[in-house]
Amino acid sequence: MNTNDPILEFTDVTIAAAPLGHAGLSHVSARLQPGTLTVIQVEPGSELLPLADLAEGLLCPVAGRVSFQGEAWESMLPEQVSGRRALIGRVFDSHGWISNLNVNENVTLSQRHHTRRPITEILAEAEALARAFGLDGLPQTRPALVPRQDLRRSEWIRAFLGQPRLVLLERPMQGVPAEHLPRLIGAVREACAHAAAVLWLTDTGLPEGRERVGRHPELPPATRYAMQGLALVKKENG
Amino acid sequence: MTFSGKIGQHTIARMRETAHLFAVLGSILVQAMAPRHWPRTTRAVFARQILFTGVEALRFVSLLAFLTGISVVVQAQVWLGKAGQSGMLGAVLIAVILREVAPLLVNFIVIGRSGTAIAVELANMKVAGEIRVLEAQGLDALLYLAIPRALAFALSVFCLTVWFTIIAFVSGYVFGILLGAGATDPVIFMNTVLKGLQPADVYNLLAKTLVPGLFTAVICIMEGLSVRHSITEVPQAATRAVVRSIAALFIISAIVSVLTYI
Repeated sequence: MNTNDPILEFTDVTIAAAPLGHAGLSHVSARLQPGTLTVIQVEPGSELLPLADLAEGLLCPVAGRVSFQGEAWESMLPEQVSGRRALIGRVFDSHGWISNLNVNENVTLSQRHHTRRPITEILAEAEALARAFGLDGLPQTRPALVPRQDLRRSEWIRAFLGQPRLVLLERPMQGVPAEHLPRLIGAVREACAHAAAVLWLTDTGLPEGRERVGRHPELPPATRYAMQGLALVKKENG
Repeated sequence: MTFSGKIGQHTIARMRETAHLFAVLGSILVQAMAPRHWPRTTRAVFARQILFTGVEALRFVSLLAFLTGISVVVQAQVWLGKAGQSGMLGAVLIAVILREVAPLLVNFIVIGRSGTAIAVELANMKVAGEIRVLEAQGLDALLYLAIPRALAFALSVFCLTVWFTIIAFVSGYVFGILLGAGATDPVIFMNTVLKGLQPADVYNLLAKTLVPGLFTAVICIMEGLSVRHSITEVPQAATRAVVRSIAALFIISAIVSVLTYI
């Protein structure tokens, strides 16, 4: 794979809506280059987009293909799939925690599973990210016992831990005061500087001031799309 | 559909389930052969499951073994003494306690304590979308959830059965003395028991602990992961897990018992 090849590529992807599950998509194409931010504006009421699951190969499109680092998910062996997913950080739109693990164990789980980095090194990086996101430290209790905004920011830590190649942010400001937005944008800028691709899904259904990612001055140059029905429409760059 | 068609459909469904069970079991055994390749998270889950299934069950298993010793070992000493067959004591105790009672009771305890727990835990994880969260992070459910639990179950059942047997013999010996029914010299009692121990008993013990332990874990894991969307499916999955684990336990025990005497 060349350094300028896209990290993630949707090629004419179509997927049907799942009853009680995600929304559908029709002929969606997009390329996420290394070091770039892609913002997708989601229509209110259609938040359950399958884009992040498709990007990780958790869902198979009925038509088209999704490639990560130049290889289609469906052509990879199970071990390759696991290895590639280890390179992806994600803030989940819905429940993103393992209930019977503490938050600190949840946050470091992927790094402990996939790498041989010393635990102390992983924890030091996680603590540094926690402080960068305005937390006193990594919460050490079960997710159910952590306040919502702290839990959401702990998801940010997990998403950026270990310098992932792709970061998927599904409405990451949900439940978090707007004052923390610059901290998240700082992490996005840093990830882009390390040649990661960032996909940020946002919506317009949130109250003014909570998630104004669309036009934040500190945001790195972004490719912008909007969902219109089942289609993904490119808005503009910059 | 005709009656015979329904029977056929049911049979095919059961055969598919059994084939799936053996496929999962096979995958677990293959992975178990290479523990060096386990990630540290898998080893941590294995250690934690040993703690829950083995160590935390010690007190209850000890109590049950103590009572079994009083009721079975003492009676065996009394009745064999009355029949003038005290020389058979070792063989009878090994056949009753080590071959049958200890593995069966310990397996029951493990199914009741830990089998239901993992079925409910995994079912809740499935309903809450936590299996998807693991997969999204590249954690294979087989490697992270199934393998450490299955191997910890098998090892725990084996160790608890050995422990059960020791406690049952000790309590039986002590109460035999108190009732004036058995040998007073512990060395004579121990020699009598050890004389009754044959190599076949060791194979029998291994087969009746490791195999049902593995099956119980795999059945409970599969039932737990079989739920789909609703939390109301969780107790149903737990019930199925217990019933099928007990059925598997009796089938395996019967087969091993028959093979021991062939």
